Amino acid sequence: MFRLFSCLCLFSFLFVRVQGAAAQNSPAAPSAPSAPSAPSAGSEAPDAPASSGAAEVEEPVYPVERQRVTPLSSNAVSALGAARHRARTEKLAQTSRWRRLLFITPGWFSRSKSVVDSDTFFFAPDGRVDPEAELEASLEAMFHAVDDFAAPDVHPQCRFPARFAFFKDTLGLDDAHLPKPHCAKFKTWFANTRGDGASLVFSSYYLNNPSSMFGHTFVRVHRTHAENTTASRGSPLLDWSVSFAAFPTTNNPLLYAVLGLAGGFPGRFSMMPHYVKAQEYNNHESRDLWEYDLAIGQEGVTRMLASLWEIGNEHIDYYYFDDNCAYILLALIEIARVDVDLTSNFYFWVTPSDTVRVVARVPGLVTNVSYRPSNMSRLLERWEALEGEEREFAVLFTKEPEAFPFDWGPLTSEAKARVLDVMLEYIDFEEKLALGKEPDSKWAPIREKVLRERAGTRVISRSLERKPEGERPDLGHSTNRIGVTGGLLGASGTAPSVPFGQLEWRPSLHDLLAPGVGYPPGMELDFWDMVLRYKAKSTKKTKIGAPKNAPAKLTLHKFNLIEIISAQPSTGLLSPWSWRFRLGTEQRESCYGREKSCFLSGMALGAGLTVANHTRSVLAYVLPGVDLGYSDERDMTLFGALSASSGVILRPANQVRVGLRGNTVRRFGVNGAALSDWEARLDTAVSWSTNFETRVGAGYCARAAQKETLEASLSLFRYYE
Amino acid sequence: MKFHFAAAFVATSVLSLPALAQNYGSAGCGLGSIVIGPGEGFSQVFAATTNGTGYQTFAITSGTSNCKTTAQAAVLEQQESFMVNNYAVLSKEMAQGSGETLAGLSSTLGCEPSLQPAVASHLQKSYSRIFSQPGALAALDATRRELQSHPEASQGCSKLSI
Repeated sequence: MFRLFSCLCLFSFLFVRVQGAAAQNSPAAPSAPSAPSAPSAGSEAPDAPASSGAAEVEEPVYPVERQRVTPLSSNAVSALGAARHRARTEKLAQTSRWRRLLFITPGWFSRSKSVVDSDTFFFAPDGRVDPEAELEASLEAMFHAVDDFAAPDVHPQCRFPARFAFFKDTLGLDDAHLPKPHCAKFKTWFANTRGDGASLVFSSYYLNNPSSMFGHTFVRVHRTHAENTTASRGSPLLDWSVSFAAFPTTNNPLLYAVLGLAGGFPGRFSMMPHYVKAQEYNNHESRDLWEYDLAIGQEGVTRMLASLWEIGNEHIDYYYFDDNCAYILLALIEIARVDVDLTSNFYFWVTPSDTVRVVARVPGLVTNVSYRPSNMSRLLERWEALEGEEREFAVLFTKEPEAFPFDWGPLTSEAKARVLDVMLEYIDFEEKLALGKEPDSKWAPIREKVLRERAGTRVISRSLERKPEGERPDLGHSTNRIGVTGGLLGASGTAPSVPFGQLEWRPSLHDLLAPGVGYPPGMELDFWDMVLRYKAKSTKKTKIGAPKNAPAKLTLHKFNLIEIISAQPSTGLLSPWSWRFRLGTEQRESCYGREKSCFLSGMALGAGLTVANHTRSVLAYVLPGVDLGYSDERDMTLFGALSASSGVILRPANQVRVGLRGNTVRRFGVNGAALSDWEARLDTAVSWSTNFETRVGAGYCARAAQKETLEASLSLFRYYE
Repeated sequence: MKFHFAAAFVATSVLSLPALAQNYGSAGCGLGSIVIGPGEGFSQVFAATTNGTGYQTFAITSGTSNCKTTAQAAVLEQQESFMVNNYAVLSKEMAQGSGETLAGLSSTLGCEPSLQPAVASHLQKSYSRIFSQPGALAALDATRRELQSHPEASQGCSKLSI
């Protein structure tokens, strides 16, 4: 148990929110060295009074340096007083609209507070946790004279246009008594970014990068063009995309993971043309994009952009699991649509695909769903359009591209064009051509020849039409899962059975037997899979990890920090590597050299191949690999192992999955001992609805060719957000 | 921590960006120059946009661009940025005579949507002339020239001569 305990300690440590050293780094690292006027000394002495504000004792730390204090005119004083009174009577500070502008999230273990970490976002000293004080201070700031500031652009009205609009809307502020700074920078920026709609974009799971495994979301603002012609409105590629992502301060992968989970990296907004994001995700990382058009209209977009202007350069610690891209974007959508409630659906974990489901569930919020295929999806679609001999040419090209140009024989120009299209997609996929990247010296001349021949056919390619509705993330099951299992354990031969019960919790994400809708086939990503097992008292001697008269016992049966299987099927054109990775600890009921159950902890890594039929309803993989670990079995305290993990997954219908999975391991202990283990499981999963599932399973396992156990179980699983 | 918004704003939007842009010729202003950058642009964009990595990019669009652009220069900027960032896709779609990115390009060239099939097909026919010189900007120039010589496109595309 000690090992488990130490394991858990480590992981709970990851979740201690370290407001760490990384957060103290300048948030604008690339430019900070060249910013002589930045008062960096301020970060050393956060409580020092503002240098120029010493005239007043109660001078708060202003978000924007106020250089002098011009007294308000008597009209302004009474206007401010009236507005303040109205705000108090109407309890404006408690409205969700105001709290959203401050990005206040409920605190589950502490006070509710804003996700923004920097003081520059707040006028009141404790504005981060006190929306009422912040409202009054912000309101007052809107009345400050323009001359109090070094430039009109830093006046509170310009710096916080969303709050200013909110006050005007709700308090009926009279323009006559307000200063009128000319917010040139905001106006220029807004003219350039304004839009009349927006989409929430989901970038599909990318198992090859730990920070993208759970998918990613960003918002595309449908641009309103200055020249209001239909032509310029046409292409969504010319829209702006707003993304929120961690800004890492280290390249060390271990530190990266720890700091990422613990909020050590500041989160940053970026805004760039959508074609840049499309190129990056579709063509560099081979990820499909799903775009959900939102019914938020021009006014909503304007509110969202004004808020983005306020928060855009602020400092938000990026927690991998909650204050992450997905959550912040939901908050922005809530600002655009004051009548919907999205963020309160989440308590602890926020995965991007869950936020897509929450958005899609609000009636009328999503008006259209569109799909932008990755380079791999495009390649597969073009490949599947080929027939007979055309396929042979395409395969030949992947094997001997230097042999191009080919003698096409009797192929029609249309057929030639289809093959050439596959070749082009193949090159672009292999070379990950995106964002102006040129093909390497091997491919450049070949690509040039293929392009010229393709143009020469004069055939117009038919547009890509495949839209895999079955992979739409909003239709998938939720990512949290809780499960209850009951079953029987028995040893081979005549030994009696021992009943057991299990409780399971797995916050994320999907396994090979889970409902396949909404997820790419062949993907398993189990994060933090935790199983508690209760074994009843045994009255007779069994061989199954329970000596005679063993008392009833509750143990942590399994804790996988992470388990990934990426089973990418070969297609006839491509044979991508499949791979798996596991890091965790597991209880074994039959162990070598001891009667009691034992624990095996460690990691396993494997790579191999997958085959599947066209519809992916049959999928089989073999993934040989190596393990490293430790256990409390005799001679196996520390071990290395060769292993082979394999499986066949059948999906006869969307609601039914059958999996036969096996693992064979040859372990080598440090003192020269060697043992073989075999395990096999047959499971049948049946879904009753998107988020409710039962599984019936049977398992067999043999240790060192002598201890065999059998297990039969029935599980109920419930997926939830 | 008393981080000075205005200073940060000025620092990021003015000081850091022209440094990336200065070697980039006619695309030296604005978004295109920042997104692309000289030489190492790709990795920069990759760093900028991959979630998990990051780059201070919000300020980039906080002003319009590095230069005081006229409306025409902004149009040119958009065309150049679009061509450079989508170069591989555009060369493919021009050879194919269709495609969504190509439709995006024709949109930056001010072509009426109804003209897009004709534009795409004409660019396919002109493929070898468009790509006779290396580089995305040469291809953009050639594309504009080819469309100017096309009877319908020269009428229906409003942003061919900048």
